[in-house]
Amino acid sequence: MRSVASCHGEASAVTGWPRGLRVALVGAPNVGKSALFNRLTGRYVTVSNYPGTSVEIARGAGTFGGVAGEVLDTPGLYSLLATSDDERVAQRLLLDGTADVVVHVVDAKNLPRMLALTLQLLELGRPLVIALNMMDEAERLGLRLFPGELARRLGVPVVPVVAVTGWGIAELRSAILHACTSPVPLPPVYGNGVGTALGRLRGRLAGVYPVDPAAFAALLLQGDANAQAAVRRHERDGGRWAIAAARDLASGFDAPAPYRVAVERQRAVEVLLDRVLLASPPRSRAYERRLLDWLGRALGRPAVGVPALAVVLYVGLYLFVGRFGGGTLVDWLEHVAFDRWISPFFERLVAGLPSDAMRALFVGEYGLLTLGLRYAVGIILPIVGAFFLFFAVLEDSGYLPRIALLVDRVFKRLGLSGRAVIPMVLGFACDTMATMVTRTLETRRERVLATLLLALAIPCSAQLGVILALMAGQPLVLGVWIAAVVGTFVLVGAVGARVLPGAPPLFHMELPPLRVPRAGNVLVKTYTRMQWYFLEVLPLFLLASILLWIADQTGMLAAAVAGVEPAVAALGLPADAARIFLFGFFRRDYGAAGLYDLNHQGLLDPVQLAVAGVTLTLFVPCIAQFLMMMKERGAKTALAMLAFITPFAFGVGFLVNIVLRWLR
Amino acid sequence: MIARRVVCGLCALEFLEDMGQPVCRACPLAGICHNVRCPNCGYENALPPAWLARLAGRFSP
Repeated sequence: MRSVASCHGEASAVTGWPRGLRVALVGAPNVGKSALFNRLTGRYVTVSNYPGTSVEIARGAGTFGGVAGEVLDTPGLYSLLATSDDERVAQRLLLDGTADVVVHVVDAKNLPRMLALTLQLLELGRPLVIALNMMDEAERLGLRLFPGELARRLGVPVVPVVAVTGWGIAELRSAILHACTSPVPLPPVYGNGVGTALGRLRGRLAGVYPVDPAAFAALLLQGDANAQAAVRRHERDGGRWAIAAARDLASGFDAPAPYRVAVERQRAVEVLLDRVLLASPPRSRAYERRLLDWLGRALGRPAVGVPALAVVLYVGLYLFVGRFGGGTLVDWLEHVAFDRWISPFFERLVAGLPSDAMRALFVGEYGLLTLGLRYAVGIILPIVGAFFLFFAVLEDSGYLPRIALLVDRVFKRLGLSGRAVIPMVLGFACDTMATMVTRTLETRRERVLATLLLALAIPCSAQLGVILALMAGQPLVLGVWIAAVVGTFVLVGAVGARVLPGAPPLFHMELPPLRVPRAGNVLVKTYTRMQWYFLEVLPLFLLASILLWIADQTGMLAAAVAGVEPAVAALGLPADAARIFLFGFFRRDYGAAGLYDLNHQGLLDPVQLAVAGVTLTLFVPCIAQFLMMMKERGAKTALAMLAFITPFAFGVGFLVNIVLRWLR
Repeated sequence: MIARRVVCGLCALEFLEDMGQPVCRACPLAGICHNVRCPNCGYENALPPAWLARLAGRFSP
């Protein structure tokens, strides 16, 4: 027989929650949970760490049919069997019985993948409401959903909503309030021995639990450490019998218990879905969709994905960014726009200035116009523009996460964490920002390793673009550069993963459907990024020119260059190359532009180009990235990395020089 | 005003533009920047000015 929910038993009437109705939003990542949270709460939101963790929980005030309450936005959760810190926090919040009502936010487009968690939430025996979000997109995809039938089968309210527009929110508020005074849902029943095992284990739990012991029994059977700890606390005998019984029952399965339980849950989901979900995509689009779905799956598999990635990188990076952006566009801007029009115009403009030093500030070797503006507009902007266009195509097509998935597999073979893929991919756009993103990694080991690899072997977009542009006509030089940088990445990554202790965590990433990129989206994204980049880079390039001009006028630049020259000479590079290493520390792209200039003046032979390219890529990160490293990893670790990277970069450059000269 | 929906280009998380990571508020370019950082993976998604998005929408099929 079903009991009636009392919502903590604090009151029988709907107005009787002294601390307000507490509603927890639960669901997998990417289901629009936070959008729904914003809809249900006001502007004032408190974000605090969950006790004892660094995981943030957002809380906001909301009203439900006139009853004041608090809404908790929990971290994304795929299953109650938690595998990450975020999931453990959501699990604890649910098992503690903190919420009066649990709202499971479900992506209506992906219902079959969502309902396994619904079944686990039913096991909690708490008032539950299903918010069927993104109904508009599900309908656009041709999916026909029957929420009433699903509600009847689950025994809980199912409310279709579109969180971003607010459609269905009023009904959801009402359902949340009524869930509190409705019968508590029954836990699901599973077949093939799992249901029997859970029933037996449930019978062993005699303690008083904040939620239905059925939830603890299911987790105990799957060997969950948090559930074991809770059972030890709540059982009189310290949970010894129950934990031993769980082990016995689990050992009776022909496969690991978490797998058996997951399989039975999915079977139960399939039964549930009958007459609840019908798919009828429009016929005209069905063939295209099938083809893209097949391609989307194939691109995530190494056999197809790796060669496809090689082709994409060759066409996109080498031909388009390197040859077209770095060759055709830069040549035109440099030789036509700057040499014929812009530079002569400014030279005439400042010709009347009283001193050589003043004229040098604008049109000298380190002048604002001849160096700062020319580097920013004539060299970097066309290259990063081409890069951003290529990147926008990858992004809008949904291919980017598939690259991350492929790289994830390589990372795991190196002994690195799959989750570290995200900052590594971001590093190809901007290493400074990617260093900040390493904070999302779970363990210190991963954070340190990812920070080191970003500083050492991941070139930023501008640096990568310039190097590709420089080496586009010289495949052998490019091959040496790729081998040296990839080799360094693999070597340092593999050694680092072994030196730094710790187990790699699991990695989850949603794969959106592959689609044909839309020209409007691609152009808008490219324009937006170029605008942002230009606004950031131009002032810094101009500032760098002023600083270099001051250093040049005071003789400090000559002294600094003289200090770097011995190291540069050891690499077999001309003395002028010392400047680009100083530029590179100011900003990676500034150094890359300097390298471009040096090569353009015919000062580098192919071996010197390879050596300079490799050393500059591996050389210390720019000031902004170094400051971010200090902020994120602490001064001691950042300085230790700097102490390692500087001699290592020059060492690799030295080796490349020796090997190439010998081979020549 | 309803915040625009953003689908992260990297992890596919769907979020509202005003839910981007608060770290961006400290950036000196925050006032003029049109990127919004995904609250899940930190990826910088380009969010065009409203007028440009409308213009692009007009020419999209």
